[in-house]
Amino acid sequence: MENTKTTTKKASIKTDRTDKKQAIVKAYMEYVLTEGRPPASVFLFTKENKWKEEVFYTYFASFNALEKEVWNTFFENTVKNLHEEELYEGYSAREKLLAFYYTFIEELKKNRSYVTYAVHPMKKPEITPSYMKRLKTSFITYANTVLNEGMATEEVLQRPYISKKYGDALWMQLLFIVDYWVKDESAAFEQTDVAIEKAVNLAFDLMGKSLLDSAVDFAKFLYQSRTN
Amino acid sequence: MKEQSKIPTSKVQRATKFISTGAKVGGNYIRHYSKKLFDADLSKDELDKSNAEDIYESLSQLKGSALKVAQMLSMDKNVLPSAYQEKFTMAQYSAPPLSYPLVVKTFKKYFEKSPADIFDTFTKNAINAASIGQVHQATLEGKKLAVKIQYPGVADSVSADLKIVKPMASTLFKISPKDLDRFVAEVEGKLLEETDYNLEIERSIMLSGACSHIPGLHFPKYYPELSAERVIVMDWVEGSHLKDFLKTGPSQALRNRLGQSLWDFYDHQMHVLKQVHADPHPGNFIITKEEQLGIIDFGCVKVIPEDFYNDYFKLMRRDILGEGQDIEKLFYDLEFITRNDSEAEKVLFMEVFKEMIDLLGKPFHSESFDFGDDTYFNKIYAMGDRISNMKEFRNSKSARGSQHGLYINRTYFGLYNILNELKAEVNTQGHLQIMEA
Repeated sequence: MENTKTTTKKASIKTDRTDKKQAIVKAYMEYVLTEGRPPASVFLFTKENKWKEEVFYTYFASFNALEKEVWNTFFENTVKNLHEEELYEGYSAREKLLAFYYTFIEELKKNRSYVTYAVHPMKKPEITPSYMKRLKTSFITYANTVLNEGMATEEVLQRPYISKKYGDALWMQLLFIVDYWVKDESAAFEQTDVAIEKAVNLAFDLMGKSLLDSAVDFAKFLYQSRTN
Repeated sequence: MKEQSKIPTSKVQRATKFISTGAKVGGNYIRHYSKKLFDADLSKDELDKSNAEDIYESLSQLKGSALKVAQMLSMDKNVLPSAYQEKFTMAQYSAPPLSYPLVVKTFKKYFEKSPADIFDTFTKNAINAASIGQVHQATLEGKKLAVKIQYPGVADSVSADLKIVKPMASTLFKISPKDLDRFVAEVEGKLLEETDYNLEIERSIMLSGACSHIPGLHFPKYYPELSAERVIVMDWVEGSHLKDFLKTGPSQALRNRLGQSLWDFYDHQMHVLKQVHADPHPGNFIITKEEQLGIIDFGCVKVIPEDFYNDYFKLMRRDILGEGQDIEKLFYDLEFITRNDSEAEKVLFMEVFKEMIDLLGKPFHSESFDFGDDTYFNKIYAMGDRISNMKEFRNSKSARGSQHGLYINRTYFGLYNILNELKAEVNTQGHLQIMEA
């Protein structure tokens, strides 16, 4: 009995904490969407919301850290939702990645205004914006797990030098998809669905055994048989 | 089935696809004529065959509307050389499937649940491909179900696709650009309707209910509560497609019975309901184990306007070309001839259309008609070939025939062709007889 009590109590403290944290994130998002820019300082931001300044610092070191957290939360929610899908574990690597992108976009959809605000100034999509740095690390770790599974089943081919860069390439792809979705004007963002489908298929066709491998293999054979 | 690695989407990509087809077809002609310099006996059939292959290859890489246009042209048998037929009929069956995660996503969007949560079982891969969607098999409470899911972005691509198909179709299929504009507007409207699965399920339930009294037909049950804008759930119809069924060597009596059910089904829709399942290609019919005719796709329904109905079916009357009929007025009403025609043109077109009506109306002119009679069909093809080669037709500035006729003609062509494949003899005097009386 006592045990249950303490756990509920602990849980409620934890809920309080996450509630507070979420309240700060929510207030911050509202601020940037209303004002079109981040607050001038943490001091002003907390004052306007009638919080003590230290409350903010309990959770975040800076606005930038907060933004990083927001984007990483998108990732964490995505992975959580993926694992709730019964069949997910049985997916091929290609399907896992497809499912990830679809779920990730669903997650972003809940905060489309904020995402549009944050991504809008992204002029060079090949450079990762600072607020996505944590998301990038998390995503590449995830992508590598999926790729390793793919390599085990030979869905993804191990190639010298290149295969180490697969994760980074997929990160670029994610940036592309987010950018595409932000600009997508089709009903229910259907064009983004099509873009995801094609982008992932292309990626896996390139990472799997393809024409290139046969060509390299043939060239290698010719070279070796001549030199012998 | 291999999941497709690329679907050309952007208009530019699709356009290049068509341009490369155009270039290839041109190449085939050059090859044909250079061969012909040495071998005068070389038949045109060979040329048609390689063209059809190139066009088929191009079209089969596209989805949705372009594939549909390929289907429609393949139905219009009489304007196409026989070599095109086999290939285009193949286009009616399979297109590459979409990934399972996208299927899950679609379900979550409409039902907030994944297929695994809704059904007891659900096949991860598509079992069949429809022209704008794919079909999965599912079970729920012991019932086998068919779940049709539409490809994303089809509605958006319809108009873009048709714009590109236009110039190619007008040269390849000898349809004047003006005819084609009306043709395309009518097709575009129907295709957009087909992307609305809510409308389809409404019509499916309505039409299958209104035809349920016709003997020998089998309609699946539809589940509107499990359906949405892009998803349709209905009972799975067990059985075989026409081609496979015919391989089993069914008796003449059985073939006649199936043919009669099919005829009655269309007769009832045309004359009583005045809206018709306008997609009679063999893929939409299944012959069940109980030897009934299952009808599985109501995506394309043409509502027949009253005025058009009255004029059109007058043409099928036995005595229409007889004495004392004001055939000229009827031809003006149906836009077979126009006020802009010269006297010579008027005489010519009246002759041609009279001949067409006489031939195509033949099944209506007797108690029963044997659709297994290949000489009849060869006459139709020969007439079609002759007309499509007539200079007067090709150079005519006027579009001929009402656009409402497109889907009705197509329905009858499809119906005739299926009955021909079935080799069925059918009693054709249903409601038409009542009308004449």
